[in-house]
Amino acid sequence: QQPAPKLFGGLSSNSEGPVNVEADALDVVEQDGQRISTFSGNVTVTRGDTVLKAGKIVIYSTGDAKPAADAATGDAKPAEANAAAAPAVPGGGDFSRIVASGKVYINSKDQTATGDEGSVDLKTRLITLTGNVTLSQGKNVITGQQLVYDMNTGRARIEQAAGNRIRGVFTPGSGSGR
Amino acid sequence: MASVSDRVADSGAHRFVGERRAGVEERYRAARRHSTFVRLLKVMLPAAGLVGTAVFVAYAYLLPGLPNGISVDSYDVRSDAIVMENPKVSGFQSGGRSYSLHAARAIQSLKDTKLVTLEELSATVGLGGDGQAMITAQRGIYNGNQQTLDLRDSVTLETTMGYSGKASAVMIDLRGGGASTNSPVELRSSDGVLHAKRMVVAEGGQRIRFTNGVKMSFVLPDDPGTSVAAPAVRE
Repeated sequence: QQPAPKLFGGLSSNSEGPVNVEADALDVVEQDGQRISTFSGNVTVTRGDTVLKAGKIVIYSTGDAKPAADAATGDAKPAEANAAAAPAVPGGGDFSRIVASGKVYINSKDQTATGDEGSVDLKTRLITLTGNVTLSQGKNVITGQQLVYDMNTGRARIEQAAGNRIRGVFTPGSGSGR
Repeated sequence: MASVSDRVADSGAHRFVGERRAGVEERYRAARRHSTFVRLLKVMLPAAGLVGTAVFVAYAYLLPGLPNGISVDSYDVRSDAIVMENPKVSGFQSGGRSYSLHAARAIQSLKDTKLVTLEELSATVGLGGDGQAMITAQRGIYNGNQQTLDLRDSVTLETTMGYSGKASAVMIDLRGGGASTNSPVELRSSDGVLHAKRMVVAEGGQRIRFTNGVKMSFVLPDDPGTSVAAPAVRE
């Protein structure tokens, strides 16, 4: 069990501050009540001092946000509660899952994690990194096959594929607990 | 022998010789018929002009998508265009989504009657589902052939789905219910704002694609469970 709350805490929804996303393209599709927003091309997500980079990030949000009727200025229209929240801006919906792929990199101050793929499940509040996972803090580095960070407990668990050993490099004098 | 008409001129209007009398009367009747015809033409031509204009205005308006409602406060026909004050047009796109269009002025060129330049216009376009988009622009070009509306000079967008937008120019496909812009666009919702260089709205708003660079900032729905030991599943 490796406590790494800072690294992932930044991205979880319970820390404040807007989320900023930059990418080459964004494709928003409404499919049976769910909105799928796919950012592609040099995707960078920042929140506070946490940065997430990936080749592609897909955000699944259910459209059951608050009825948009109040947001519409024109009052002439009947204020029907419209299930589809702002299709273009995923922020308007209720996030269920975020999947990042194409070399995922997460950094928060001196903690960095990388992996081939990452996913954030806001229902179970678990962040999972898989494939060539490395977790480093300062000079300490741990590698493994999968890292699971539990936003509830603030604990991260590194798992290694069967047969491989977890490799950790710890440099005395740069303890992570400080 | 001089022709009969010279003879008549020489001998004044009164003395007709028997066998020439029928010829003269014949020509008189012919002349009168001619002038009647001319008089008729004089009346017919303007009438034809008016009728023609009315027909072609109807043709120009009725044909593009057979809008079911057209109203114009006044219109005057100039040599190169028809200027309509306060025109309103409404109709249905494919899939039954309605559209309605209102402008301060519409100028329909006579060279190509399918092109109408609209000034200070506002359009309501049905989107997929029961959503609706209200769009305004300083200028727009309505193309009856392609059923498109090319909006220019500060376009604003409001929708019943909780987001609004701004762009410098947007091309709207009234038949397919789509829209596209190849200049920067900003979309805003209660929780976030998005800037993109290009946007294509397809399938009546069910699919939106932003390209050439996208920036977005939004606030995550505040999470009731702030403390770490929050219940895992939110009600």
